Amino acid sequence: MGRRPYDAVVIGSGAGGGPCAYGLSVRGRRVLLLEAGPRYDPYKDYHLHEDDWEIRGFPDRERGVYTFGEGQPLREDLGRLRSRNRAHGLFNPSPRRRYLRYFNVKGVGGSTLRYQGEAHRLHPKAFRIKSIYGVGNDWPIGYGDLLPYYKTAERVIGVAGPDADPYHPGRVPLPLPPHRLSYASRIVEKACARMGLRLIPNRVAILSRGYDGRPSCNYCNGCSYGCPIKDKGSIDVTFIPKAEATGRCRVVEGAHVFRLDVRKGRVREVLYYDREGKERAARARVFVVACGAVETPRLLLNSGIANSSGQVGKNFMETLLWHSTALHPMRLDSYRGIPIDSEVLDYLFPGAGLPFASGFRLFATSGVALGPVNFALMYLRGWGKGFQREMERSFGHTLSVGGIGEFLPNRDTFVEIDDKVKDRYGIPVARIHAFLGENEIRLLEFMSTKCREILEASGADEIVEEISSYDLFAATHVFGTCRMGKDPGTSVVDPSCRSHDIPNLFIADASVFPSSGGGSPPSLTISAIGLRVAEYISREVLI
Amino acid sequence: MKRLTRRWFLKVLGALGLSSLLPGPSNAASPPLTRDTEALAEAIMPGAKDLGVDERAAALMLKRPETARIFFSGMRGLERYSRDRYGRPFHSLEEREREAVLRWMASLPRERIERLFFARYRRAVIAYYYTCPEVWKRLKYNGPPQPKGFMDYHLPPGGGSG
Ligand SMILES: Cc1cc2nc3c(=O)[nH]c(=O)nc-3n(C[C@H](O)[C@H](O)[C@H](O)COP(=O)(O)OP(=O)(O)OC[C@H]3O[C@@H](n4cnc5c(N)ncnc54)[C@H](O)[C@@H]3O)c2cc1C
Repeated sequence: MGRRPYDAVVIGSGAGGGPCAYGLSVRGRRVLLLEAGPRYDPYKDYHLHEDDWEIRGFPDRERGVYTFGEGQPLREDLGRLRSRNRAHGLFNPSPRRRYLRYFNVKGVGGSTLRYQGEAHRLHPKAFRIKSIYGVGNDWPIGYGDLLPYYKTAERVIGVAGPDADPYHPGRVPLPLPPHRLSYASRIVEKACARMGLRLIPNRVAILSRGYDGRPSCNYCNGCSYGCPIKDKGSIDVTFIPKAEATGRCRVVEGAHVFRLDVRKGRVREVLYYDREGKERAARARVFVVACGAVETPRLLLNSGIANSSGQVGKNFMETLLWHSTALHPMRLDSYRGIPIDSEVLDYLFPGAGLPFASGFRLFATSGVALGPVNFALMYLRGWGKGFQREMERSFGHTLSVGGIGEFLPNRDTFVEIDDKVKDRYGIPVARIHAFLGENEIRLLEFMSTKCREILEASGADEIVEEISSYDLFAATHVFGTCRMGKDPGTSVVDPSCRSHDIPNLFIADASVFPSSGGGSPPSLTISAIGLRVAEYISREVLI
Repeated sequence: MKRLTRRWFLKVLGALGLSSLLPGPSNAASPPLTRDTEALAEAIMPGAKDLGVDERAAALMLKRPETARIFFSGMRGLERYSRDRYGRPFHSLEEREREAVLRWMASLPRERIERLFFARYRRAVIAYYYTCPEVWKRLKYNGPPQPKGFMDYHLPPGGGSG
């Protein structure tokens, strides 16, 4: 790569950083991509070929450290919204909301290494919920501004799904046809039809045919265990190899950036610890932070920069989730297929007359117990021969549906620095505070009712598990801690994702979302933002 | 049939520098650890011993000092209760008696070490038991997920046109 200085340093190689590095390098820019985590080799590191794959899980080599604030007090009258399970009872018997985990991955490719491959454009209305419903925030950009980047992301990743989608006017065909619905989802489809709902095939970054040198999916359903055949379009097998193939993008794994150094109003260099724990610095003309909605504000706050608005870390939004699993009298083997193969969009930004603002999305899912180990541990009590008989009778009978809804920002939900807890380099970690507001509770009530109704209409017998954001924080989608906006007093970056305070600093990850998208999976939008930032930097900054 | 041995315990613990946790063989009060460990696994999942599940579950608990301590305290509690109640070690009890010991452990208050031990060991035994392809056959589970995948995902289980 020679000794010429880099045009840009991109920090974080996930859904936002990877595409941003790609966008810069294909435009002839020299990029240094610094990633805190390791590089995983899908052919060697993942465990889905092994008998104990369920016990091994995703082979996280390193997990981020963060802490949580106080749990929200729970209301006695909302017992029906609590997470419970047939074998273990209430997941959280305490009177306060419990923080379980912020699910993310440290590694080249970021959290997409574990994501379930849902790849959605946001609904055009998602950008304007304040104007439409009077809640949350509008985005300073619209669907049209992201459209060309959505198309590029869909092409590079290889998104499969239906062409005709009534909720996205003027849609162009996706690169790949949709996947067939699983046997279990076809039962849910019929139930939805009886209820007047339309279950349609999902749009996913999972190949329905061989594409771009990658094979088609073989429906093992193990996306979140790490896809070992590369049909899932995680960033490490799509954008990053293409960026590296330009010869202009250097990826450094195990590089923990801990400070951005600002002199005379511009970022001069980033400081990081390398894999051996040695402190290093890197310089460039432009710096892009893409560490995700928890680590990006942590880095900026620890660096004491880009926060003249006081908004860094504020407006945090989490995943508002409901998930119900029942046993069906028929054997379905719903663990076969892809994790979320179909969805109902009828409540995504609906008209007036419903008890909540904004909206949510329902989906048919293979659930979380994808094999015998988890099934046994999650749904059965006891031991001995009776246990084994019950297992033989009920394994393969689960049917699951879920919903994810809009999470509106509120004052009590934010990320800050926890000075008392440090990571292994002695750097203070992020502390997450998350509280649900009234709209979230109304959405959960509505989603839970619909999920239960769908399961009943599907002919399922007994609900064996319900997982709810009401009493558990277990977020996979997080957003909003450095939101974009036109007003430097109320936002951290401008509509091009450039810091209002520092002209050579950009943010290209989920932190910039002003609203959470009504329950749509965010990764494709994050990637589109990453590509848009790259184009803007190339066109307007690196001239 | 594969049997758990004292040497095996010593090897696993030695590798972790935890050999001192293993009660000495000369101590008359020391529990017949190997036989009880097997018998407990077998009571939790009949057939576990033949599949080597007892060893894998114990090895999981002996991986870290905290869980190794829970393991030995729990086994000691099991041994004591069996002797106090039936006058014999756990592994020589009748099936009905073993069942009563398991129910006793499962119903103890949460903070009792025997209950914690039982919850962990039960979990480990069940988990490893259901990783065994021999057991999958009985469940008609055609795993692991790779390399074959489940290409029949759109059909009713076991084939057919759906
Ligand atoms: C189990 C699971 C399932 C999911 N399913 C879906 C789905 O189906 N569809 C969907 O759209 N979304 C899904 N998501 C969410 C999606 O993966 C995330 O929203 C998305 O990856 C976030 O992108 P990001 O760029 O903001 O952060 P990330 O993808 O998390 O990337 C951030 C990267 O920055 C690195 N980093 C952090 N701090 C530093 C530092 N100081 N120095 C250097 N590097 C650093 C991290 O190691 C990481 O690699 C899922 C997530 C999980 C965990």
